[in-house]
Amino acid sequence: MNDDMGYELSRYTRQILFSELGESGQKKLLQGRITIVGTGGLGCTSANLLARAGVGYIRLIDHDMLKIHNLHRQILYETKDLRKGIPKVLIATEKLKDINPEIIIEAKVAEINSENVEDLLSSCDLVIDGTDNLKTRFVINEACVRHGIPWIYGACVASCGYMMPIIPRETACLSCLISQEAAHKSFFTAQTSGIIGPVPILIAALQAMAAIKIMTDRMDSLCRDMIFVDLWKNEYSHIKVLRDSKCLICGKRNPPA
Amino acid sequence: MKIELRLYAQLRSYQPVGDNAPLYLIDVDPGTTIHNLLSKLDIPRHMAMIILINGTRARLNQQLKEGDCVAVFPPIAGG
Repeated sequence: MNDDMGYELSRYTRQILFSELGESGQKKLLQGRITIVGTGGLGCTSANLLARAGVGYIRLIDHDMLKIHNLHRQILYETKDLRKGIPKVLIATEKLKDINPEIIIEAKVAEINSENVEDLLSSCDLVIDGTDNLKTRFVINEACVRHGIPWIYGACVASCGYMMPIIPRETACLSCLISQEAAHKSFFTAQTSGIIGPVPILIAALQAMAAIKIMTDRMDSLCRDMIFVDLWKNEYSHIKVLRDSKCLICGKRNPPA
Repeated sequence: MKIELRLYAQLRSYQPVGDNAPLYLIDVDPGTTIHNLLSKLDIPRHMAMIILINGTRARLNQQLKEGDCVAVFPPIAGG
């Protein structure tokens, strides 16, 4: 069962059987181009799910080396990978190519910043946040809003996490939600407060689901709320976030590029 | 006047002792600002990264109104 682009669709039959997606949705995924920034707890899971789902091109960006304390939650890595001595984005790329050799996985060993963001996010339809700091997220937000690229914000620590799709000039952007001054303050990360494995996996699964809806043009099914979970306290909340008309990034004074 | 308050994640520890509900009603004086509210709850400023009033980002000097829904999140940044 080949489609007209030469992809083997039989890999995706169970997904195609889901009527909301179907063969037309699958073809859109196969034509999709996404960038995942960060291959830690969030990025590993979203990359894994979206490679299996058949997103045709996935660019992974990270500059870190694998450490043993990554292994309890970063599901693309194994103990034997610790000996390889190569950046973890390259290990993740190898794994994803084994998982789905029919798609293109491109690795960039880099730390995204305001100097290289245009290049690193170029020619992609969607960006998924797997970073671990707010400063980088503001860089992604500004570039994505400027170029009209949807991106999916996600963050987690301890037993809590949240995600929110950001559709430029339709939903609130990161700067509508958080003051840019916050980027320079201290915050909770896995290093400061710990993290339990199911949390990034759940948040990344929600990010991947939102990505699939956006890439298949099923915006009618996309939840625009911020979704918050605390898996220890068994809490699941939807928080409506409204655009800020005075936002310095997506407000009326800042038209698209 | 009463407002609805939701403190998320680590901020839950600033709720009154014994009250662990995700949402609770709190009495504040007319004219109370977000800054006053954080002080009343002993929440350090750096612990409140996202502050929303009825879904819109709040400024520290913004005054609360009867029935406002205030959501506060700590600075979560891990990934």
